[in-house]
Amino acid sequence: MILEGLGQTLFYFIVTLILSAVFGVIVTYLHGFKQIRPFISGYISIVRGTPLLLQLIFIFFGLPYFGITLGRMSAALIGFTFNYTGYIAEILRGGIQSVPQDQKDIAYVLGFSKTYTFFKILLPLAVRNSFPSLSNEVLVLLKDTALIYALGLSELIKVSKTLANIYVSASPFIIVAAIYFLMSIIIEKLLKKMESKIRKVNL
Amino acid sequence: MFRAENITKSFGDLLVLDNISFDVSKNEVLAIVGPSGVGKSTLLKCIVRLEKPDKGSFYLSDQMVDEKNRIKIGLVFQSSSLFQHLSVIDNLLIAVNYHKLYGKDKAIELAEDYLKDFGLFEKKNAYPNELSGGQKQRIAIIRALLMNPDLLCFDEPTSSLDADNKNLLIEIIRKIKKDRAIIVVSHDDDFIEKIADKTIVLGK
Repeated sequence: MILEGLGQTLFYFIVTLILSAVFGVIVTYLHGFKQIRPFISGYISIVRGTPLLLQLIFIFFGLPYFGITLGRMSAALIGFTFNYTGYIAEILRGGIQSVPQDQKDIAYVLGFSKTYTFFKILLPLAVRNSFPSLSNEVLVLLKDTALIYALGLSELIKVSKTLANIYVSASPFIIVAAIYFLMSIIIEKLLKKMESKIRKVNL
Repeated sequence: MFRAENITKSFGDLLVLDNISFDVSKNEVLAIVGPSGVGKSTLLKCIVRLEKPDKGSFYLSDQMVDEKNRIKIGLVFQSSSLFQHLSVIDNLLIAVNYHKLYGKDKAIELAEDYLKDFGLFEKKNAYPNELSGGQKQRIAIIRALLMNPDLLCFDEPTSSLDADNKNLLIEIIRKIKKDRAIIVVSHDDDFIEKIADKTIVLGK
């Protein structure tokens, strides 16, 4: 049962990570267009200004009132991706702002298009600049996956509660805490490794 | 080769460039001199279209400089203008491959020839942070040369160079000017005296 819960947790973690990375890059790219910028700023304000738990609950329990009914899994994935895309986009935007102006100027002088400059110059530099913040988001996401509990999905927390009820014991909670802790440490190590690799060729 | 006609530029009330005209031909080095803050860098930025002049135009081989032919104008920045996340060879190839100036193999061959010529071949796979200021500048020069520019501009090229590197730069500029016009913005009198064929003074 614990393994099943772990599988669920990892599933939501990995899928959200991939989707938000992709959408985060797209949103950051679109931020470069003046006409679209206000919409993106509004979106990011909403994401940052409301609790993730509320966003998840709204998508699953609230949207049906507007005639949109989603399964638990899609609601959870849409909610997480909606939220994390905003955070990742905001971090990348900051990373792009901190790219030195001469790097942007030389890309222009060499005749690169805006899109090419974004993907080949700005984005790689922004990821390097903001890697510690991005790593932090990844670890927060791992723990945030616990929130899908509210949508009735059987991730680690729910499993631990069920097991605690069955065995009338607190040990399932402790085991699950240890699992989270272990996963965090492993992910942190992986991220640190990636970071040192990046630092080698930069700064 | 290259001509500026009545270039005027102001920022708000501050008139930075007042009706500047000049020309520079192939195999000629034009030095733009003057104290700090008189618009030397602004003029250079206008030439490469990073800034738009309020009035006046530039001409390259009698054609007005626009979005199409502006890549025939190269610029070597004051600070390191290499892309920090790319190795030396990738820095050299990114622009020529983007514009598909040569075939891929031909581009590598040309880049390597330049590296050998400039004594930097063993730095081919190094990253900018592993290079000295002079080396970075020479790589930036090679990248500009690979684009085959008709006009190559330098912004304060000697500002962070020691005597040896400065002499090397003088040698390089003398060599590469044969096929193109060169504009140098500088306030290094000794350097200008050695390199410039003509000089315009801003801020007078």
